Amino acid sequence: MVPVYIDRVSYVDGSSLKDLPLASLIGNPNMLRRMSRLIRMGVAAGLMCLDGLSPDEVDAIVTATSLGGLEDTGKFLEEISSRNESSLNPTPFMRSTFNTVGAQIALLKGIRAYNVTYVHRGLSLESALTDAMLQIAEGRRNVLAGAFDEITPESHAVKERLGFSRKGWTDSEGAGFMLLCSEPSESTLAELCGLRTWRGTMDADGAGDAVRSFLGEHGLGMSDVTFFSPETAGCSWTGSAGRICGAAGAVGDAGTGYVAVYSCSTGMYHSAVLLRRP
Amino acid sequence: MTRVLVTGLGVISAIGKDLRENMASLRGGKHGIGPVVHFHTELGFPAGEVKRDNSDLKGMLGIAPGRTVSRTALLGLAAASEAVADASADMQPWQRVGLVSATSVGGMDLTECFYEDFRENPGRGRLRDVAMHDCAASTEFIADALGIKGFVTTVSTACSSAGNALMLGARMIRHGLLDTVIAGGTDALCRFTLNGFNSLKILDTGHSRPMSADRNGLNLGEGAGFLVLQSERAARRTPYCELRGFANVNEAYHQTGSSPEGDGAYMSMTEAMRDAGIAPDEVDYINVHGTGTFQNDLSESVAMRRIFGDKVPMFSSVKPFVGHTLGASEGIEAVYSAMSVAEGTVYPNLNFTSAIPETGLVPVLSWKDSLGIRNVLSNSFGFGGNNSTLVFSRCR
Repeated sequence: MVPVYIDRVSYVDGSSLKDLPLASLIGNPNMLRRMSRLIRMGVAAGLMCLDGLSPDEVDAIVTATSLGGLEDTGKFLEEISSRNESSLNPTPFMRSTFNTVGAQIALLKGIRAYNVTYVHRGLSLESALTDAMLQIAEGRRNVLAGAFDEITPESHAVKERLGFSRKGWTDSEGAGFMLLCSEPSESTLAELCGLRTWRGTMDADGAGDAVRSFLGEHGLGMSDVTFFSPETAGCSWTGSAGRICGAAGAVGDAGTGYVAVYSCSTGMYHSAVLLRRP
Repeated sequence: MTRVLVTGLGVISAIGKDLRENMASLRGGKHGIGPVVHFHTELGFPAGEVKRDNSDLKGMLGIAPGRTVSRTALLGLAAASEAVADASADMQPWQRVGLVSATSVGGMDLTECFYEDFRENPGRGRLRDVAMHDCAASTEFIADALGIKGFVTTVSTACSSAGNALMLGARMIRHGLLDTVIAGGTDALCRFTLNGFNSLKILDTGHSRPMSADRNGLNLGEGAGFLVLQSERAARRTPYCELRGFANVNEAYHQTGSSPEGDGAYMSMTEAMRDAGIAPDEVDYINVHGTGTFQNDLSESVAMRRIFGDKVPMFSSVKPFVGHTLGASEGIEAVYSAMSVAEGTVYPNLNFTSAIPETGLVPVLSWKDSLGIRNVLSNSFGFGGNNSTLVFSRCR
């Protein structure tokens, strides 16, 4: 694997969204007005990572979401029923498409480059990172990668009925983006040195063994790394984006110079990421 | 760089439940567009539904009749399992096998049933009807049925989804990370997408006429198409062709429209040919995206003129046969494109009457086979400015 550097990270959630200067950040009032909360969180987080870069310096945009634009999806479903399939407003349908955030970032910044979206539950962001790392290996210089999900009253009600909170899974929402680069710079936060994913149920012992073996492949033991895992098991399928963004910011202070992030969602999707001080 | 071989094909669409039936319909000029029968809708638009209901599909796949499975997942498994059997691929857990599937609606066909009750009372609606809502559910269902334990993911970039899934699969083989990847896409037609495209006012009330001057919108469709991509060391049969190059370039022009200059299509075709190491005069056939909307077909044919000048290769849109199957479209059309290289076939562009005046291009109008086809470009373009092109080539 070629070295991959995390130069910037940004994280936006429901509460920080309210404090952001969206009008100046997004710059296009017409597009901003039509954006749902999820799209605002995603586009804002993505644009913050691209601040100051010209469009041709960004070689790829790789996004991830497990459930996409739930608010827009719900709106359109409701209109189909309430208006009996006639005279529907196309905007919620257009925005419900899973690649909307990646597309809007490209459109706002004029980035004519590789652009793709992964939608695989707890491994959505990890799939995006896998692709982004391949992009760097294929010679791309700067790749924007990130993930986003939102909670709506409807999705919350469904998750409750499915027993998510009974199982101890906390729901969360937000958008986390990273700028991955082929070369280190003065602003580099961390080197992304490893990523592994597992599908299927694993108990704590199994997860420990899996992470130990992952670190072993990098010549490290459990005591060589600081674990960054401020969150317990969640059911937000893209929660690992926030954790990895946080960890990248914390690498500078880690005693050993290595930080590992283990994420697990709904007990089924697991990932481990290894970061190193640049 | 490791070559990416196409060793297995599987397809289910409005014109057949497997590869053999699809090819027979293409040869016979038999399209699958007709009234919607599998779900209730107030809209009268024709569409390309798979001519089997969910019970038939479950019977075909050996799935218990009472089990709730989204139609997207059933269609996907039908095509993916056909492709795996066709390749005689070694699916043992110690082999490096992955699955990259694509979908634009996931289990929306079931969610719509759930929602009718749920909107009246959030305590109502059968939970099993919403459990497969997300896009990954159909992929996980296929992975379980095929026993794929390794790398599994799902792509969703609207109408170019399956093209991008095939691209990731091919790149994982090129990088030596996997030896076998089952890649493609699946989408069931549902009220959500039918109403969505109607709200955009781009559905033809009759049979679509892609690449024709009198085109007036698209017909939606449903189905699935999967390819088995393998490295040389994993391949167990003579490959159909190679997936030699590809490109994905966002046009950054408009959320749902394409530029009149066809910049996106121009960039993805040019970049894909460069990636494959071929020149424009080595392309013998283009399976165009050709939806039948005014804007898409204009942009795409302008881009073809810009690249190929007065030597535009044979081209056609198969969408009058199967409809626009959205997340599945490049899966299905990649199967047809691979067959084009393997058997030297090109497919008729039904309903063409006269050339688009801006470009004057005339598509292939009848089935031909045993042609010497060296390289085929297959285009898929989607919402959000997504433009993808795959290059299928005769094996070196």
